[in-house]
Amino acid sequence: MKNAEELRDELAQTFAQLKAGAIKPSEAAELANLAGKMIASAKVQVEYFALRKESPRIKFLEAAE
Amino acid sequence: MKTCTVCGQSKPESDYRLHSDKKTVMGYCNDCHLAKRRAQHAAKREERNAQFRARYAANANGVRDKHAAARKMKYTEEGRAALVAWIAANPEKAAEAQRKKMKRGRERLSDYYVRRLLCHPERSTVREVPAVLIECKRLQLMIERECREKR
Repeated sequence: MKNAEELRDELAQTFAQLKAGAIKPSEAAELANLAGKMIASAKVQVEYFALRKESPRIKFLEAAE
Repeated sequence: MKTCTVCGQSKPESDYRLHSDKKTVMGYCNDCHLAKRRAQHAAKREERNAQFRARYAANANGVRDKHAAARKMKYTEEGRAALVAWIAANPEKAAEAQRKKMKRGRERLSDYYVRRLLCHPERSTVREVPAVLIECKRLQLMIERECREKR
């Protein structure tokens, strides 16, 4: 998962597998927890640049733009 | 008990609609009546929709004006100022409306709710949260909810 789009695809896939019963809820919860950390980290970056009134390219979100 | 003239089943009189005189019951049962109405509606759907569109375009009953006024209220500075004034005058009603909106958003995981979770408008300087981040957060919440249900 090198960028947010890949993370999104991975999460969508996990959700579908969880619905179908292909993976255990504990495994899915672990992935969701990890995703939460990545999202929070990206959010901090976005907030930091917003505070500094800068708008550089954020590599993690780049592919989405 | 009464026998339906369409389906031929015997049903209690409470399963039949009344005629417009409100005294005598119809010859066909409620289920057959609804089936007939659905068929009529499906057959005339396009025609009726075209009529409604034409009436809307002609602003026949003022609905178009009403919608335009509502849009103006929602999206212009004038409308925004009126809304702020209304909130100041009715803080309890505004708080109740906000609670309802958040509850709806929590249930549906709306963009508004997820964006607010990521960057609260009063606590954050971020005005535009990237859409992909919102989608990721929504999926994360969906997985967490599903896990909680399955456990």
